[in-house]
Amino acid sequence: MKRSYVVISGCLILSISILLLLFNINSLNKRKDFKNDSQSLVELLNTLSVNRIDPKKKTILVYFNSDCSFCQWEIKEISKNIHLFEGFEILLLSFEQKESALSFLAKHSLSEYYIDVNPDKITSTIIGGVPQTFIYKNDILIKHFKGEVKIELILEFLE
Amino acid sequence: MGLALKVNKYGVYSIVLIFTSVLINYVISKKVLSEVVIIEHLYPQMDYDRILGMIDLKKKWEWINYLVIPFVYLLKFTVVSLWIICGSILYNKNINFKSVFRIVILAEFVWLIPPVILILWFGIFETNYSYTDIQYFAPLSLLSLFEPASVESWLVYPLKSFNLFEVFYVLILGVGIKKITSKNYMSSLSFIAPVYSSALIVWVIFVTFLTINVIG
Repeated sequence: MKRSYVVISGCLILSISILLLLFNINSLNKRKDFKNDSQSLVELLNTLSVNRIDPKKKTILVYFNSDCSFCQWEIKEISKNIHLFEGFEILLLSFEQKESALSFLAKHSLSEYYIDVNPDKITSTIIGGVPQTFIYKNDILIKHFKGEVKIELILEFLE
Repeated sequence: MGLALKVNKYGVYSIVLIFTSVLINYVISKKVLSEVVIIEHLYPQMDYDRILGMIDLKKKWEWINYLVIPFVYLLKFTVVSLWIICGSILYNKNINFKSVFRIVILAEFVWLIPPVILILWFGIFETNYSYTDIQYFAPLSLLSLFEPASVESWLVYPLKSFNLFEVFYVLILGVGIKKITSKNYMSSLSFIAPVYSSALIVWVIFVTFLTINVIG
């Protein structure tokens, strides 16, 4: 009797774990479907409740966190080479508090590119770690980098 | 009167296991995952100086990887042994933790084979390889049935985990259980196979869950 209770409990725990995993995979697929189906910057920003300026402009969107050393390097490089991004739209998003993000960006004179987004919304829309760099042309996602990326490569895709 | 030194053979097996594991990891780190392979993998995306900085950092802190090996083994042996003990309660088998722990130590030698195959494969047969080749190298596993590019990143670990070495591991555990329970081999196997398989499934689910949430 005791053994059957334990076996049933074990099976229940295993089933719940598998269901949780399947749920996670399903929500992952939904997020991927969003990205794959639309590949659209406008739709992404609408999801994040951000008012977009010009969807036709070539855009680089950087998802960062000020505590991440790879993000720090990439933001520093963007700042150093900001003149090369003339004519392109730059959007900088973070899941941390607005004050921390802005304080970090202010050190690199990039505060004007910061987009204030609800942290819960951004973490449920953009999955994975930081930094992530998205490059859009005519509202379509043409390249997505995970991890830090050198400026020359970003510019290559923007041209 | 001299001091009699009693050598515990399982202590010796553990030391041999740890030493061999450290050596294998060292060879993989220095010869297989060489600087050239890392640079070639990262250079398309990362700045060259940054890559060199990362390599220097890796060299500086690499010793920690070797230092934690004994503790990782201790944790693994303890968890696997406890899981088997829990299984033995369900199956009304009278086995003690110490005996199971010893069996788990011996069975662990199976897991030295895949990294040795990796070293031999990339050292002798496939010398023109990339970092991705190493990442997806999983001999005798379900992953080797698929093209790496066609596999979703979160599926890599589950497919890698279901391999023939797990089968060998269970078979060896079965031999050990047979010895300590004095039952026939099929009876021991019919106990250890479901018990260990359940542990493996739970572990794979856990790691896959983390993979999806952290890496995306």
